[in-house]
Amino acid sequence: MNCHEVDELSGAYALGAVTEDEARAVADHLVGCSAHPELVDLQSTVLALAYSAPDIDPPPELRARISEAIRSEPREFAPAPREIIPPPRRLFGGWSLPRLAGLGFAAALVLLVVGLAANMQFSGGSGTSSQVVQLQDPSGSVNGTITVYTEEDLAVLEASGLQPLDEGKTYQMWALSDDAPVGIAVFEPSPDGTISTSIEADLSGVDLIAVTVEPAGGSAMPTTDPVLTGEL
Amino acid sequence: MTRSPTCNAYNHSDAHGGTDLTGEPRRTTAGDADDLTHALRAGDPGAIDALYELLGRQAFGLAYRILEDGQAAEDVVQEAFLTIWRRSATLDPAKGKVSSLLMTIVHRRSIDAIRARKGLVALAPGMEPEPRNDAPTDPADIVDLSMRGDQVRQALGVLPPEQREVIDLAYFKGLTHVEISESTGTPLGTVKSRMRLALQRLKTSLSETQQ
Repeated sequence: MNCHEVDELSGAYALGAVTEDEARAVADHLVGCSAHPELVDLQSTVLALAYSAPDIDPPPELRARISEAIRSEPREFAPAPREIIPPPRRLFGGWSLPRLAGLGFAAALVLLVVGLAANMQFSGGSGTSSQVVQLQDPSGSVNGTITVYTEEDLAVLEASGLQPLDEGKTYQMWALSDDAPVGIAVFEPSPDGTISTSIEADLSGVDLIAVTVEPAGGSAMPTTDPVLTGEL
Repeated sequence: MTRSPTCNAYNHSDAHGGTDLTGEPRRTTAGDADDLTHALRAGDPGAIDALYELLGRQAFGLAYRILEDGQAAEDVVQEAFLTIWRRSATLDPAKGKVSSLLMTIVHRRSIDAIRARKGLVALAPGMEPEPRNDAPTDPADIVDLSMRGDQVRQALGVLPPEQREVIDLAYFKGLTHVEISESTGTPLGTVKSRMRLALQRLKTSLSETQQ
């Protein structure tokens, strides 16, 4: 997407009224281009729209319900830095952490992490509220990261250079820990080989993220070797 | 306090955000809400109560405007306040104002709910506009919250109907520009242009009223 196209889409983008592909394309463009100050203005203007709805007195019991709820609702704090001492052990399909660690590292992070609006409002204080993991790719053609927001049960996959798959195939992401691998998402990259997708999953305790090629719709267990991995 | 002609179950507040026990207009400011950030970070439950006092009517009004369902609006508002509370330890005033954040969460959750109700796919995360502290004209600044509503409604009211319509369909109905194009039979390029122009005009109007 070029500057003209971004400008053309700026109103819809500010309103959150664009398709997922368009949102990704605009975000990608803004990573390396600062020529769109109007977009910030328009986004700010959209915030004002929240106040255009008539104020309405909520039912009186709502105040009490919220007040009571928060008093039993734990607050979330930035997690302590995780101790990463992965012992050598075998994983599914003959995978092991040492073997996977031997895979070539992907090139530098190139894509912007697009988080939920709320994600952007909070910081971990010490910067530990999210973990960016660079994905490893044996072929060396894929650049990508997965950003894990443990407190929010959210992960954001951003990658480029993914190979198009034959019809009837899909990429599937797995979370690996001491237990059996758990499929957490299936996805298909754009025709240009990029992917930007959010995954709702609790990844606490997960040691490794892996991506395999599976039949469309995904598999219950991995059936091929990983094409991407990332150690958490 | 007046009974809304369009809402039988809930009272719309007056133009100044209701009245206190003395009958004086209850005026609240964004600064009041954002001053609560430090108390929220410290884990003071009373700060949520105070935030509700300041923004509860606006939050519920926004949710009800989108959902047109009182119970669903209550659920969204409750979840929004709980979200603020859960994350209160990591609220960062430098990254956004708590008033804008609360309203953004209410909007986002409401749109998610109404799109789910209509069987539409959820909008992509990250498409919600991000509150910005560095924006030249941050509506969360300066103005009285209740007056802000008046100003925004007035600014919307002077937009051409076609531009007001795309704002309404996008912001309050949660439709994408493609969906708006399809539902109204308007060319996609026109929808995009109207959205941009409408927001530009709104920005200009709001900037002028704040000066």
